[in-house]
Parts: sequence; C-alpha cells; structure tokens
Amino acid sequence: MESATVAAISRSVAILFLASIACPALAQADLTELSLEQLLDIRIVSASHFTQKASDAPSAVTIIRSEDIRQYGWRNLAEVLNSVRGFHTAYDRYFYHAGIRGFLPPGDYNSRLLLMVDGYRTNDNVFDQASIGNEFVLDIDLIDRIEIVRGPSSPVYGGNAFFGAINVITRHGKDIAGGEIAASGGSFDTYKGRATFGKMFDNGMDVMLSYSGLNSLGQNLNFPEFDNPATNNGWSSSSADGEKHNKLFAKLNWDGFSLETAWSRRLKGLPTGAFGTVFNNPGNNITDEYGIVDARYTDAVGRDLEFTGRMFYGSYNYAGNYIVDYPPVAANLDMAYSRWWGVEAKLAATRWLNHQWVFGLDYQRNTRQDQINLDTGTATQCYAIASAAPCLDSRASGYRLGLFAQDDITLRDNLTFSAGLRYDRSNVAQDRINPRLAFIYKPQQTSVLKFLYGSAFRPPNAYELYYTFPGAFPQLGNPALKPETIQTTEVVWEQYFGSDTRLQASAYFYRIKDWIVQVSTLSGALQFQNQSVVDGKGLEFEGEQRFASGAKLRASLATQFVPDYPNGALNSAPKYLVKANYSMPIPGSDTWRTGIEAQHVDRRATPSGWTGSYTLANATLLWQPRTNGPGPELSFSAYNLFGKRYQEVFPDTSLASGVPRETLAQDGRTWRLRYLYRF
Amino acid sequence: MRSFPCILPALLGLLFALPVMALEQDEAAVKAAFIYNFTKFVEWPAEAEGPLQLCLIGETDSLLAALANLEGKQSQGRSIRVRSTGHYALDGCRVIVVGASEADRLTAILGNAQRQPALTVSEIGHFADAGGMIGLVVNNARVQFEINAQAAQRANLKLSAQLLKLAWKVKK
Repeated sequence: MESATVAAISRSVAILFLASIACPALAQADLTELSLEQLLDIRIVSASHFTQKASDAPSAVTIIRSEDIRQYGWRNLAEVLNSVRGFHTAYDRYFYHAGIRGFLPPGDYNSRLLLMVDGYRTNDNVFDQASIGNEFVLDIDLIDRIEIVRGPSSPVYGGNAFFGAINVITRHGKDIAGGEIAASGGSFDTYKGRATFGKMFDNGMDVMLSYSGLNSLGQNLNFPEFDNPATNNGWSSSSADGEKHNKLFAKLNWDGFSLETAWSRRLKGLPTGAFGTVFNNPGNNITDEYGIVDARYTDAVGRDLEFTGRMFYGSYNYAGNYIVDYPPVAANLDMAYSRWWGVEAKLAATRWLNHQWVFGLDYQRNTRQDQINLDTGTATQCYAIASAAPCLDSRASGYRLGLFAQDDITLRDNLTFSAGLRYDRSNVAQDRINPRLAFIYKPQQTSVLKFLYGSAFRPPNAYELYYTFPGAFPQLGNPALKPETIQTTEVVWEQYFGSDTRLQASAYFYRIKDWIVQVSTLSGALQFQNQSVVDGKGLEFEGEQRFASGAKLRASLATQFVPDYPNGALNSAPKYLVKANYSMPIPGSDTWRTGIEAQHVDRRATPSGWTGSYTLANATLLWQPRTNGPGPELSFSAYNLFGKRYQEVFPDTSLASGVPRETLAQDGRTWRLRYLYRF
Repeated sequence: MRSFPCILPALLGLLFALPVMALEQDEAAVKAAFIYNFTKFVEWPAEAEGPLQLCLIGETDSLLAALANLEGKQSQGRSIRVRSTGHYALDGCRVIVVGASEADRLTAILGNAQRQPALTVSEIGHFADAGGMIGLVVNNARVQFEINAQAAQRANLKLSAQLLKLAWKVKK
C-alpha cells in the first residue's frame, strides 16, 4: 500500500469521524462513497448484533460469545452457565454440578447434559459426565461461541441430551491470525498461562495449536464436620486443595475437511474428607485425563445434498487416590478407564421444495468401560476385607447406534413445522424410538412463537450399573437398571423490538419416568435405583437490550418447580433464579469496559431442611485497545465481590469423623488479573 | 508453572510500550458499503433491467438494517430499491443478501436464488464455499470478500476483473 493512499484514507476517515460526531446518519451514508480499495483498509469494530439463528432453532437457545467470556471474566464453563437462565452450579471442590431447570439430584455428574466440542461428544462412557469445570478438555479462551440448548431438542443428539445440550464451537486459526500469549494470576496463588498459534494459509488451510497450563496452591478451608483437635479443628491445609492442569489443542481445517485433537490432564486435591478419606491428608487427590481425536468431512453432493461424515476416538481416565484409615492407614486407588470410537454420517437434502431433510447415523463402540478399585502398597486388604483381589474389577464394553431423520417443512413463509424421529439401540437398553416435534410461527418479522414437544431417554451408564464397593460405606451396582425417559412440552415466545431489544418467555412441562437416582438401600448401601414419575414445570423470562453506547444488558427470571424430595430422594435445586449481566464501555473511554453480573439463587433442600438463598455479584474491568488484531488486553475480575458466605448441598454420611455432612461452603471473594497479547 | 509471576511483570512492561488505536468504523456500515460497491462491478444479463432490486432475506440484523440506507442510491445509472423478502419470493431480485439468521437454511435459499439472475452476498461463514457468490469475511479486523466465480457464471452474471483482483479468495 502506497503512503499517498494511506494518507488519503486517513483523511477521508478523519473527515467521516468528524462528520459522525456532527451527524451520524450522514457518516453512515458516506462510507458508500469510498472505493473498494479504501474499504478494504478500514478497520472495523465488531457490530453487536444478536445471533438471529437462535430464533429459528426448534428449542430455547442461549448463545454465549467469546466477547462475553472476556467481558465477564469467566474462568470455566460453570461460570458461564451461572449467567444463563435456568442453570446454577454447585462445587464440591472437585467437580461442578449443574442444576438445570429445577433438577439437581446430589452427586449427579451432569450425565443428563450433552457437552460437545465442535459437535464431538465429550461425555465419557463410564460416568457420562459433562465436565464443566477446569477438567474440561478445552481451554475456555479457545471458544468462539457456546450454544446452549434446553430440552431434548433435536433428534441429532442421543442419550445425554436429556435436559439439554451444550455445543462449544472453537475459534479458527484465521481468528488468531498469528499468535496469542495469555497469562493470569489470581487468589490462592493461582497462575495460568497459554500460548496459541493460528493461521489461515493462502490455499485456505486453517491451522491452530494451543497449550495451556494452570497451577493453584489452593485454600485453607474449614469443614465443621471435622471440628475436633484430632483433625486440626476442621481446618484443611491449602496443599490439600491444590489444582494443576495441562491442556493441548490442535486443529486443522482444509477444504471441507477438519481434524481436531485435544488432550488435558487435571490433578485436584480433595480437601473435603469425602468418601471416608483421612481428613487433611494431601495424599487425597483425583486426576482426570481426556483425549479426543475428531475427523470430519463435509461436501456438497450435487446442488441440493450435503454430506457430513465424522470419525472420532475418545479416551478418559480417572484415578482417585484416597488415603483411608481401616486401620491401619492405607492408600486406596479408585480408577476408571474409558475408551471409545465411532462414526457419524449425516445427509442434508434440500431437493424437495419447502422441505429440508436431514438423515443421519451415529455409531459408537465402547471398547473399554472399566472400573477398578484396589489398595496400593503393602495392603492385600480392601477396606479391611482380607483379600488379594481388588475391591472392584469391572470390565465392560458395548456399543450404541442411533438412526435419525428430521424434516423441516416450510408450510408458509412464516410457519415452519419440524418433525424428527430417532431410533436408538445399544447393548444396555431395549431399542427405542423418540419423536421431536416443533412448530415455529412468526406472526410478524419481529415475533416468533415456538411449540415444542420432545421425548428422550438415557440408558444407565457403567458407573450406575456396575460400581460395587465393599467396606464400611458400601456401594452396590444395579445391573437391573432401566433407562430413564423424559417427555417435554414447551412454548417459547420471542419478541424483537428493532434490532436492539429482545424479550423471550418460555413455559415448559417435563415428565420423567424411571429417573435414576442414588439412594440408600435397607442394608445401608448406596445404590442407583429407578424412581417413579417426577414432574417439573417452570416459567422463564429473559430480556436483552443493546444500547447505542455499546452497553448491553441481559436479565432473566426463572421459576422452576420440581419436588424437593421426589419419591423420598433429594433434589437440591432452587425454585427461583434471578440473573442480570450488564457490560458497558467506561464513559469517555474507547478502550475500557466493565462487566457486572449478579445472580440470586433461591434456597435449596438439604436432607434435613434448607440451605439459604444467596445473591452473588462478579465484576470485571477490561482494557481492550482493540477488539481484534494485534495488541494487548488486560482484565481484572473480582468474583463473589461482596464475599457472600453460602453453601451448596452435598450430603455425605461416610465421613471418617462420623458426623453426617449436608452442605459444603462455596468460595468467598476471589480475584484474577489477566493479560493477553495478540501478535 | 510457578515461574509465571516473573513473566507477568515483563509482559506488563511490554503492554505500556505499545502504541495503539486506529480509527474504527462500524462493521455493518462497512459491509453495507462493500455491497453497494459490488453492484458497480457486476454485469447483469440484458433481460434483468429496470431498478436494481436489493432483496434482504432473514431477520433484521445490523447489516440488513444498514443496507436499508442504500434505498434510492444510484449504481451504474440504475436506482437501488431495497426490500425484505422470504425464501421463495425472489422474482425481480438483482442482489440477494442472505442475513446471518439464515445460516442453517443456506442450501435451500441458494437453491431458490439460482433461478434468478441475482448476485448473492452474505456475511455467513464459508458462504462462497457453500455456493454463494460473494462472502464477506472479517480478517484482522478488516472486511474482505471471497468470490465463487463459478456460481456467478451459472447465474449469467459477469464480475469485473477488478473485483476478482481485489477478492481475498476466488473459487473458480
């Protein structure tokens, strides 16, 4: 580019800028007077518009973008979900457990939530777990957007999309266009670093490579159940709460072909004394390791057919090191090995006028679903049962197969009917057929009405079926478990006022049969058992407003009614959730922004009563001289700004102190300083 | 990992040493200006005369809203008429802009659009690969465009060499 042209452009842009102060409408029109060459050199600010795609989806969808993640300082998916209507999360200092639309049985590992990365299912095949904490296979910084779908919305999703599906869409190499270095430091000596490189080559090949690592020393925590001098008056040392993780991600896209691989390993100390472990012993820790490989190919077959094929491989290893006092003190090792591979094929056809067909097949082979528990070291005992054999050695394998079809029929320009059917077969459950139906009606361009009906099922997983464990606090597998099923009916109304205001209301009714919940048997062992019918219903309201200043507001109210003790089992979800997220540029500054969020969570049921409601506020100050392109970015976040003390429900009767636990205290005020440099 | 505290101050030093801030423009307005410019570089078949109808498909987002400002402007001696329309009412459209809301239904829309001598433009990702004619993309905070020359040819549209030269990517 010659300097004369640069000068000319700077001049015309400067004039435009002055004009835009005097008369914004004129400035807009004047851009059209620039030539293509000049336009190519203009730096843009990303317009803040809603993803309209969401309004056409046959479900109630929430989209979170990478800019939201930066503006609100979210550190993991759990913090993202806390800002989303109908969700709340509880932390047991190991995993985050998501309550969804009023359902949160204690000890649930998010098995009813499908968590995908670019369409790849990350739920493992032993626990079916959706990992929404730091153990999630992907660094949250690599996310372009997150689509959160409620209900078993699409026949494309199989078993785990019982309450909903989260699809995390990763950034592209061309979005990085060079490299990024990020470093952050926060409360309790928590340090994190990331290096990412990405590029799109002239031939269209797009590549990305990223590494992240985190180390946290952890906190000193107090657990009243251990409040006696022998156990340090209930105080655990910070080393028992430490956390460490490493993550790798690589991705290549070229001409319809895409190859992704990710690996992560997280080590987390277990300070809570859960599972009968010796309290405040730094030898108690848990490792989660994920590995994924995903190859995808999309091609147009003729003008009106599109084929997508996918091959995937996944592995998940869990290892819990538990120090127990039989007596004598011994080290118990609890493990799971999960391996799977599979193929997916999808054909989208627009051959017939007003019809959009999707046909698909989805096959997964579970090559390993192994659970092992043994004592390491000298002990030949297993929880004081003298035996050379491990306490548990369960080897399983199997498969699942899904066939689905969906037709989106445009009945009129403003009326779409979507009908889907999914057939599932697997080695653990009888064959099933589940329908999904949706009417999407747009009385005007600015309003959308959706009527949704869906049914889904989830077969019991290997953990629920086979995890059997002797000792003082035994657990029993239940190979007789039936799949749980859900039927959902929902009405959604969305109203747009101009392009800057959106209101949404939604009413739903869920009926669950054969709900799989862990209960105490008469002999005192824990076992997963099918429960009879549980109903849930709720109303949700959400409003979103974009302001001309660049500020934006999202606020929601969710009322959700599910029994607190359905069939005598516990369900610890709030009845009301109120949320607000507000982000705005600091007045008078082009480069500073602040993001503030507040969440009110209603009381939750405990085994003997209630734990109190709470209101949290988080605040982030972001310095972002450019939203895109090379340059630095700095943010400071404070979480639980007012240091609210609150509890989440985690009943445990197996504590070594003999005192039953009902709740665990959650984090007080914490902070994080984050620096990013793009080059 | 414990060495990060040493890196942080170094990076902070770097931060304050950097000059920043160029003048930035609204993405939608720039994209709308691009689309207006494209109309100057397209030759429609002779039967497609009369006012230049710019048809907008999809829910009004900031780009479609910005395009409404093109109403009445002149291009190649023809005046531009902007109208919003559904997927099947494309008769008379000379330029079809597919809104971001329609990403899922792209194949269907392009199937209908190809019956018209109309230039198809969109900011939906991989639009040119999907069979659209001009896809607007953002690279390094700048708007660029990809052209699917084959798709234009099929619709009997001639794109000028200059347009092809300025494109970031041309699919032949």
